[in-house]
Amino acid sequence: MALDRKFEEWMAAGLIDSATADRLRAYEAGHQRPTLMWAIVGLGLLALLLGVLLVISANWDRIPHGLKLAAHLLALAGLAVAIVQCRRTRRNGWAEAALCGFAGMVMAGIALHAQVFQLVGPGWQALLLWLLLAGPALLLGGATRVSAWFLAGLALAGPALMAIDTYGLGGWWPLWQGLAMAMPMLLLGLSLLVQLAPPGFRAGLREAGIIFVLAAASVVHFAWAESLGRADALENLVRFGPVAALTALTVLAARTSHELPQPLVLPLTVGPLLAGIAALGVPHPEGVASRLVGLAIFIGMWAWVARGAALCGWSALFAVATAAIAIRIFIVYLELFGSLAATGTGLIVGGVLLVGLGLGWHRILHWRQHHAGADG
Amino acid sequence: MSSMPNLVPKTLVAALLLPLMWFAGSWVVQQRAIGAGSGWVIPVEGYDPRDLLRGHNIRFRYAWAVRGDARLCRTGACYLCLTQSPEAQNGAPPLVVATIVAADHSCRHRVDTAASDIVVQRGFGRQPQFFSRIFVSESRAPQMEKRLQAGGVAVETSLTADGRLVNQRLVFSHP
Repeated sequence: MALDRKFEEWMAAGLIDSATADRLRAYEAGHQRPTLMWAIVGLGLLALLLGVLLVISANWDRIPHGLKLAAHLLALAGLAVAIVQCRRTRRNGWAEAALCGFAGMVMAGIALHAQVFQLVGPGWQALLLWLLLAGPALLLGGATRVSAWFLAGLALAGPALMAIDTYGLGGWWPLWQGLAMAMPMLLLGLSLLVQLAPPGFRAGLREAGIIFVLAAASVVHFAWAESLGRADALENLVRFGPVAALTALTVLAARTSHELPQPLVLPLTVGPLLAGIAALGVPHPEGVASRLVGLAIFIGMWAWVARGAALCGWSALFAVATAAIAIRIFIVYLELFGSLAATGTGLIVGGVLLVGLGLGWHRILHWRQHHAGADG
Repeated sequence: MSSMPNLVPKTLVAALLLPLMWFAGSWVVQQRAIGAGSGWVIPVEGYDPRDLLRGHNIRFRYAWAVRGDARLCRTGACYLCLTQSPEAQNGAPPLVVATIVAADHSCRHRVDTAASDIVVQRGFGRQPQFFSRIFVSESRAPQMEKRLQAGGVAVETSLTADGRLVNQRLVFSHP
């Protein structure tokens, strides 16, 4: 039905004629997938799987430890063989499903060993072990966004929890925490290595990298709301060491591989790094002046991203950058006056800025359409 | 002329073998540690009738005789030296004595409570109490709970060389 409406719209706009629309309708009718049938089959398989799992769990303590461990090893080996066979026969979807199952089974194994041998420790140790054991297989065998996001989740969760749990500990811990902070940049850098994996997998890594690099740089800028002493700033600079090193490598990879549009390379790498260092590595007092400096840096970072996105036609990223700036403008007014309604001036200034932002957005889109038309 | 892409590179095979090797190695290492450890049968009690079972775990208190300086257990990890009391008599299982010792104290059967996931509950004017847990199936939980309340329950454990007291299974003196 939705497609029919589209055909009518396209015919009215003169894009297609009625004969083409009929051919398209006939093609779509011949290629419809029996979604409902597959949904019922899927539901049945899910019920079967859950039933088997429940029978096993109901008798869990009656099953000897050795049998559980052996069954786990067999299941893991079976999935590894399935991955290899599916790749050899080019059944890529099944290979991807088996790979995700393999990674999940690794975590199940860690939990099983912890239960059987009564191994204890903080949760992040298990998550890091999961990353070390399943990460290489996901990185080298992944083909789509699904496995890429699976790997991204592993690469971000364990290190982040480790950094939070060990915060305040001395010795080498700040460097390890810095490595955890560098994980989003590592994902972005890996996504640029063309030989590493298929485009779908690298696109997933790139999305995860960009989202978490920008999110992290946006979150750390709240440090401007509080005072930062010299000692804390110095320790933070140590943490930024690994981040800076990985940022430099990512810039190098982006310059050589051209996998990332050049206008976005520096805004997505150096911009967030500088914003992060300014917020966490430069001592500052608590007060309005610090907040305004933080605001300027935040808007500068996102404006740089917006400019790069507009130049290379990444409209979703451009929209996010614009929204981030708009939201921050409202937040700063709340920060300074406690309420949007405290004085009418704030609302007027905020409103004018937002209208200006919207008009600027419209102008850039118009400019891009014009240039796309001229290029075409 | 381009060659056929390698669908299963050796690096991927190695990455798939990595967890298999790790789990097999972990099994061997842990099993050897437990096998080489000393076996202890320690009486246990459910310490709170309302909380015998949490999730799928039976939580219990080791009903051993606690001796030594309780102040050594106040901060951080707590170390216990296990011995069998010569006080056992009339065919009853020998009493297990857990003596609180300092971290650097040399002892043949030393328990590291932190590594053994033992919860230490300190109290004023009395020796600390030591709690642990063991997994049971949900279907068997009500039956286990009744048997724990009836008493005569012990846990078979293995104490490894590095001080981990690993609970193996519950044993019941009543049928």
